[in-house]
Amino acid sequence: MKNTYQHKLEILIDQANQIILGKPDAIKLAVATLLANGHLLITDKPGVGKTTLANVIAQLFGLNFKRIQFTSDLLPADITGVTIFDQEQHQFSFHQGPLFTQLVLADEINRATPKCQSALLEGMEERQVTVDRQSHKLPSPFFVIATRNPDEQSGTFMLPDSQLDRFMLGISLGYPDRAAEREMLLNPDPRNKLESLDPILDPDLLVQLQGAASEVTTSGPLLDYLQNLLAFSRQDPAFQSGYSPRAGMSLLAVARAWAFLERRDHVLPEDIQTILPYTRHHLSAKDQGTDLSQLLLTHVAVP
Amino acid sequence: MRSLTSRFSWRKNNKLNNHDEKPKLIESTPGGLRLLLISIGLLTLTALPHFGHLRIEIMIVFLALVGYRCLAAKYRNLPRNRWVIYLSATIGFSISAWFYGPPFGRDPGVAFLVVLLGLKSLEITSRRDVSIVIMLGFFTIMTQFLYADGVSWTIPMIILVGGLMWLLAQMEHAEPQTFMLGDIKLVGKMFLQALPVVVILFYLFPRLSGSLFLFQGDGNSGVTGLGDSLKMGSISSLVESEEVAFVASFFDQEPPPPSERYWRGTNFWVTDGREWSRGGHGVHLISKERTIVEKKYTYEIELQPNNQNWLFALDHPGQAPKNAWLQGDHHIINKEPVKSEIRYELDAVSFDDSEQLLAAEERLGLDLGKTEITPRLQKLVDSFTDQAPSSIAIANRALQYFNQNEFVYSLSPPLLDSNAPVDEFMFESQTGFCGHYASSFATMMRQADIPARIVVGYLGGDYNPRSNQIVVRQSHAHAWTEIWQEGQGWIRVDPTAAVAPERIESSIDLNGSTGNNGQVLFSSLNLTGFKKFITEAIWIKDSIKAKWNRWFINFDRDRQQELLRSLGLGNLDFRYITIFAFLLALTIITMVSLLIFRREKKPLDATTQLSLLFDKKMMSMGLARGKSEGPRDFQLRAVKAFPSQKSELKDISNQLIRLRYRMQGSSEEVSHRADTNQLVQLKKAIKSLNIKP
Amino acid sequence: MSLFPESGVDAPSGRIWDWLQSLTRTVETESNGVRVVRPKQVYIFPTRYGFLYCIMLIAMLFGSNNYGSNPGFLFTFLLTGLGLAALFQTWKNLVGLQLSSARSSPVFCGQPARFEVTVKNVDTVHKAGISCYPWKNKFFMSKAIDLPALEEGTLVINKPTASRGQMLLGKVCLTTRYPLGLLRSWVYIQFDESCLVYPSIGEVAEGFDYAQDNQSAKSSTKVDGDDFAGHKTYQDGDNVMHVDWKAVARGKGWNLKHFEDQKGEEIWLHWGATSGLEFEQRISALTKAVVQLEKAGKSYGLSIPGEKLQPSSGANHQHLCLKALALFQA
Repeated sequence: MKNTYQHKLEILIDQANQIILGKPDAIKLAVATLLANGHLLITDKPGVGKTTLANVIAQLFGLNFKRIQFTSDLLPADITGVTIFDQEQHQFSFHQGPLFTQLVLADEINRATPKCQSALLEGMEERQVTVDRQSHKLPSPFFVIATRNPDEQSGTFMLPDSQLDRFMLGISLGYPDRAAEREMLLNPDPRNKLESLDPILDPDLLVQLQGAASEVTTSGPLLDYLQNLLAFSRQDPAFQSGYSPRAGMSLLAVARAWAFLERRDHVLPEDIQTILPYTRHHLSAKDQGTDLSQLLLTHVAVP
Repeated sequence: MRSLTSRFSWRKNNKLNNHDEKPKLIESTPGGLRLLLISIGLLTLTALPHFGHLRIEIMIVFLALVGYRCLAAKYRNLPRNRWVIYLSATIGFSISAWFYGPPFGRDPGVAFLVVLLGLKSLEITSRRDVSIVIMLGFFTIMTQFLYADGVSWTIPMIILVGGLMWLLAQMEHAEPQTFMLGDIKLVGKMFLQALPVVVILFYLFPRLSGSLFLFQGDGNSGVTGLGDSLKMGSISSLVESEEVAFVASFFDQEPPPPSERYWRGTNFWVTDGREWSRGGHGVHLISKERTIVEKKYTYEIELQPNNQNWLFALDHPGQAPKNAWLQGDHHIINKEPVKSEIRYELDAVSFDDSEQLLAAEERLGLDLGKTEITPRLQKLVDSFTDQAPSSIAIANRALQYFNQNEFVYSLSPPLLDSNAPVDEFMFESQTGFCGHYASSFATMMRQADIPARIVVGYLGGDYNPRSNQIVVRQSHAHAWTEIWQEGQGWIRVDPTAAVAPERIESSIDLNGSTGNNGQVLFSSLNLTGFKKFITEAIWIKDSIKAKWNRWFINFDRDRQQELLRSLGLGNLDFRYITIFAFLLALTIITMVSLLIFRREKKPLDATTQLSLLFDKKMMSMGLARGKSEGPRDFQLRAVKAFPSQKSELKDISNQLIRLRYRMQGSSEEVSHRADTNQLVQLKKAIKSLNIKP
Repeated sequence: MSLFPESGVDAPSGRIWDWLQSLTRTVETESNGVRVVRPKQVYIFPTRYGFLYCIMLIAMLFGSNNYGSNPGFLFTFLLTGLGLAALFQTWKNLVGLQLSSARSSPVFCGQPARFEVTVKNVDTVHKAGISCYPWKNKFFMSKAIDLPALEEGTLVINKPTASRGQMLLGKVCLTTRYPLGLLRSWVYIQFDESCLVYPSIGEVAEGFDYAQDNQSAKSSTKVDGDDFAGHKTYQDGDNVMHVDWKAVARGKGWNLKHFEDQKGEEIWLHWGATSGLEFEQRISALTKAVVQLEKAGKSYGLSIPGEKLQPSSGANHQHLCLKALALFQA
C-alpha cells in the first residue's frame, strides 16, 4: 500500500521537476513539508520561480490555490475576510478572504505590516481565523507557502523569530544552473505547461499520505540523536537561541516525511541531517557569520 | 493457573530437590567423569617433579592412590568407604614415616604432603571436594621450589596453576562441562590482571634475610666442575660438557681479549709423579704486599655451584670478595664450598715486577715428591738448561721442543699406565691435552730447578656482545703453568699453546666436534653465513638467559637493595618495610574504593554494545566512523573501502540499523525484546570480520 | 507445622543484627520495573576455601623466604595476584545483572512457595554459578544457574510457608562464588511480590460430615463414600480430572475413576458445618473438602462469612474457593 503511495509521490515529484527545472531538492523538501503537514518559507530574490513552485504543487496535489501579494498597505481583513451586514437578510454574514483555500501562496510576506503578518500566522498555527470574535475554520488540508525577500532589501518588515518558528522548513531556490537556464530561455512561459498538468493526488489522498508518513518508526537511538541536537543548540555558546520544542517536533515530523519519501519505514540520523540545513530559521546565532547547521552536523555525535 | 493440576500431587514433590540429597558423586553427573579424570591428571602433574627427590616408594604410594580413584570411577563397585580410606591412610603415612620420620623439615614434609594429596584425591566424592584437593595441589607445586632444581620447573608449573584455576572455575558452574573455553579465557584474563601484582610484589616485597625456621636446605650433590687434583686425563671428561661454569659480566667495559681470558681457579703445588693436587687441605700462602700499577677490569661473576671452595678470577684479582680470602698465589678461597649459585664482584689489576719469592713457594715449587725421572727425561731437561741465561730461556727451549716434535693435541689420548707417565708422554705417546702438557712441563721445570706450579681454571669463554658477558662453560676447562723468573715474579707459561696455539685464541668446537682420531677442530671467531646466524641466535639466547638469571633466579636481598636504591626508595630496612606495608595497604584501599565508588556507569544494553563493537572493529581495520556519521553513510563508506567483504559488511550494518532504528522503543527495550540468538550471531559476525586495509 | 525452619541456620537474628541489616544496600526496583545490580550494592567476603588459601599463601611466603627460593616467591605472589583477580571477577560476576519481577503460583501452606525470577546477563562475557536464597534462610539456596553472554536464565526461589494468605517474598540474597570459589559475593534484593498461600490441609480429621448441611437434601454422602463406582478405560476426550493418576503412576494404565453421580448434585460447603473445630482447623477442613470434591469431580459451592461462591467445579472454581479461604479473616 505504502509503496503505491510512494510511487504516486515519485511521479508527482518527477512531474514537478519537468516544469521547475534544476530544483529537485527544493521540490522534494516542499513535498516533505506538505506530507508533514507543515508550512514552507522560501527566502529568495524575486523572479527565481517561487510562485511557479507553489503553483505546481497546488496543481499536482489537486488543491485549491490562492495567491496573496503582501504589500505595506494590505490590511488583515484583506486576508481573512470581513463580516458584512446583509441588508436583505438583515444579518451579518462573513465573507471569506483569500486565506480560505487549501494552499496559500503568501508572496513577499515581509513587505506587509506586522499586523497583517500575524493575521496570516494565526491562521497557520491555529488553522482558523478569528474575525469579530467569531472563529472560522480554515479548510483542510491547509498549507502556506510564504516567500520573502532577503531582509536587507528596502521597504520590508523583519519577521519576528516567534513567527518564523511556525514554518517547518525554510528553503531558498537560488539561481538556476546553466543548463536549466538555457531551457528556460528557450521556453520562457511555463504557464502553458502548468495548465496542462493533471492533478496526481487529491486532498483526501493527501490526508491519508500524511497519516502514513506520521507512522514511520522513530527509534530510541534516533530520538536520542534528535534530543542531542536540540540540547546542543540550546547549550552551545555560539547560539543566541536554540530550537524551540515546536521546532523539535516539526524537525521530527519532516524527518519522518523525508524517510517516507525515501521509501523507508524508519527514520535514520541521515534523514535528520539532510533536512537540518533547512531549519536554520528556527535558530539565531550570536555571531551572524556562523553556520549553525554545520556546527550541529559536525559536533553532535550520532549515538 | 498453570500448575493447578499439578497441585493435586503436591504431597509427592514437597521434598526440595536440592537440599535433602547427599552431594552427587562427581562421576555420575553429566560430564563429571571427564572433569574428575582431568582433575586427577593435573594433580598428578603437581606431584610429578617430586619423582626427582622423593623416594620411589612414596611416589608409588601416591600413584597407587590416584590410580585407585580412577579405577573406582570406572568400576563403580570398587569399595571406597571410610575403612578403605583409613587403611590407605595408615599404610601411606606409615611408609612416609618409615623412610622420612615425622613430617618436619623439607623432605619429610614433602613426602607427607604427597601422600596426603593422594589420599585426598582418593576421597573425592563431589565436585566441591575437588576444590580442597586443588588447594593441596597448589601447596605441592610450591614445595617443588624448595629444591634447587625447582627453577627449571617454573614455567611448566605456572601453566599448571592456570590449569588448576580453570578446574576451580569449572567446579563453580551450575552444570559441569559448560563454558570450558570461556573459562580458559577467563583464567587468561585473570593472569593478566595478576601480572602487575606479581611484578610489584616480587621486586618490592621486602626480602627478609635468613631462615625464619630452623630447618635449612639439604645439601647439593652431583654438581660438576673442576676437581681438586689433576691426574693425567681427568679434565677430559669435563671438556665434553657444555654446562655453564660461570658468567662474567663486564657491564660497560671492553672485555679482555681471548688471549687474556685465563680464569684462575686454584693452583696445584704438590705432585707425586702421576697426580697434581693442592696438597692436603690446600696450600695457604699469605697475601703479598704489592703495588698496583693499573686497574684493568671490573666485572661480576655469577658462579654456578661446584662444591669447591675456590672462586674464579682473571689475573690478578686485586681484592677478595666478601666472605673470601685472597691467597699469596692469587687464588681466592671462599668461606665455604659453593653449593648454590653465588655472585661476586672483582677487579683485575696488574702489579709491578717487585714480587718476592716466599720461602714456602720455593720449597713447594721445586718439590717433585716421588716423581720418577727417567734418564732420557733427565737428558732432555739437561739439554734445556745447558747454558741458558734465564728461566724464561729454559722454558722457551721446552716449548720449542713441544712445538718442533710431533706432539698432538687430542681429547682422547692413549692411556698412560707406566710408573713414569711424564716420560711415557714425552717420548712415546706424545698425544694429550692441557693437563698432560702442563704437568709434564711443570715437572721438567722443577727438574731444571725452576719453581713451577700448575694453575687450573678455565680458558676463554663465549663472548656475547648482546649482553657484554663472557659465558664460561665446563668445556673451557684448562690447566697451565706458572714459573718463577727472578726480577719478573711468577709468569704464566701455557705449554698447550706451543702445540695447539688455536686453543688459546678460540674454543673447542663441540658441534664440529672431535674429528678423526680425536683431533680437535677449533672454531675461530670469523664466522660466515649460517654459522654466524647460529652464533647470533645463541648470543641472544644467552643474553636472555643472563637477564633471566639476573632479574629472576638470582634476585635476592642484595639485588633488591640495589633496585630500591636506584628507584630512590632507600635502604631495605625496617623503615622500608613499614613504608611498603603502608603503600600496599593504601593501594589496596584505593583499588577497592575505585571499584566501589567509581562513577556509576549505566550498563550498556546489548544493541548499543554491538554497535559500539562494530565501530571499534571497523576502527581497528582502519575505518573509523565519524562522530556524527550516520549508520547508512558509514555503511556505504565501509562497503566502498572493503569491497572484498561487501556482503558481510552490508549484512552486519543492515542488522545493526534494523536493531537500532527500525524497532520502536529505547535500545534497552529493544535489547530485551530482541532474539538473543540473533544478537550472539551478530556479535560473532562482527568479531569475525577481518580485513586488512 | 511447617516442614522447614522459618529462620535460617546461618543468619543470627536479633535487634542489633536487624539494625545492621537496615544499613545494608539493597537492590531496588527501577522505574521500568527492572532490578539492576549496581556496583556499590555488591558485598564480598572470603569463603572457607578463601581463608584456607590465605593461610596457604602465608605458609608459602615463609617457605620461600626460608629457602631463599625465587620461583617460590614468584609462585606465592602469582597466587596472591590471582586471588586479587578473583576478588574482582567474583564481584563482577554479579554487577550488571538484571532481574525481572518474581512470578509465583499459589501453593498450599506447608509447601514451599515457588518464585521464579528471570535473570538477564547484559554483559558480553558469561556469568556463572549464580544462586539465591530468601534472606536469613540459606537452607533454601536455589539451584545455581549459568548465564552465557547476553542470555537470560530463571532462578527458582523457594520460601517456606507457615500461614495462609499472601506471603511476601521480601528480601532475597543473590550470591555467587564463581570463578574460584575462594570468595563469595552477594547482593540483597527487595522483592515486593507475594505468593498466594492456600490454607493447609495437613492435619484435619477425615470424615468431614456434609450431612450437617441442611440446605441440600441429597448431600448426605461423604466424599469417600459409595459414589465411586469403579474404573473405566480412558478414551480421548474424557475429563482428565477423573483419571486415576495413582494408578497411572503405578503403571496400571490410564483409567477413569467412574462416579455414579457426577452430575446433578450440588454440595454446599458451609462455614457453619465445621463449628466444632478451632478457627484455623475449620478453614483447613473446608480446604480439604474443596480439594477432595474437586478431585472427585463434584459440583460444590462455598459459603463462608462475607463470601459466597455458587456451586461449580473446575480448576478456576477451585482456585477461587481456596483463595477465599486463604484470605478469610475472622
